[in-house]
Amino acid sequence: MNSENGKIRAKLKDGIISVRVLIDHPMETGSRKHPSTGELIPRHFIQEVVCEHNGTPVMTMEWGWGVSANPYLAFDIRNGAVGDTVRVSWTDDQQQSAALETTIK
Amino acid sequence: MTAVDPGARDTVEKVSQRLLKPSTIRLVKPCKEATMQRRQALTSVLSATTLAALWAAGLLPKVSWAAWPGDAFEATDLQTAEDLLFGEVTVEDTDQIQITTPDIAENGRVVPVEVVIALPEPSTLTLLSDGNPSPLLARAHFTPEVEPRVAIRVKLGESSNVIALVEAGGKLYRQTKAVKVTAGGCGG
Repeated sequence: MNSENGKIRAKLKDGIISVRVLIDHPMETGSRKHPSTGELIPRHFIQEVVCEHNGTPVMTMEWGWGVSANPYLAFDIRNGAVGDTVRVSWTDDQQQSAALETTIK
Repeated sequence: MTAVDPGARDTVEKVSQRLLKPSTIRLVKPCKEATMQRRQALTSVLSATTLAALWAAGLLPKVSWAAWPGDAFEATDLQTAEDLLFGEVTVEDTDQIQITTPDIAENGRVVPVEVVIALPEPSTLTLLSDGNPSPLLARAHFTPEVEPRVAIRVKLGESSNVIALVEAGGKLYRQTKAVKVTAGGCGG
């Protein structure tokens, strides 16, 4: 599924759902200077990530600004089946939240 | 501001005379400091009550901010970050954790890191770098519903070790992997 927040792909094989997520987020460290003005770009990064399988959280993550811009995350969910939903949601330090969701075919 | 000493019963003339002497500065200084302290105390009380009021009004998001270990993420050296997260726990080096990264990363801003854990029932994975200004990169909390494997991309400021700490069965395990970075991923 593609959306303005990023991309999510989930593949089922032998009962394991392999999930790959690309999130659109600048993940600013706060130590980077603006190329033309030379001013420091304020820190702006995702703090919390929640991975859900059929509405139940199966893995949560805490991130710092050391995670790359437009973060990539891959993980595997057990006991997967056709029709299952996978949802990855996140909240950044400006308390902006977004999510990506897909259904297993 | 000139009537600083409440005990002084000097005339206006005497006070103004004394003000011309350098010694009177001593009288002014403690008063200034007291005001500053009072101001700071007031501000902290005010902000605390404002936050409490906001919380009560339901204006603050009900996200478990306590879960995000801010102190550890802000830590500027590896040891402090580890101590803040785990306290004084002995760490055991293991090859039951496999870290896969490129040996040489051309771009430190995007370094793929995959961690596969063979330890039984791991509960958390903590990723750190000993070469970054802020060593703590990310943490994962597992449930038995996921395979103990995570792939992510991180920034490395310089050639350094990527460190994976895994909590499993009440113990803390560590694996490290050296990565050579040819273009740094911090600042610039």
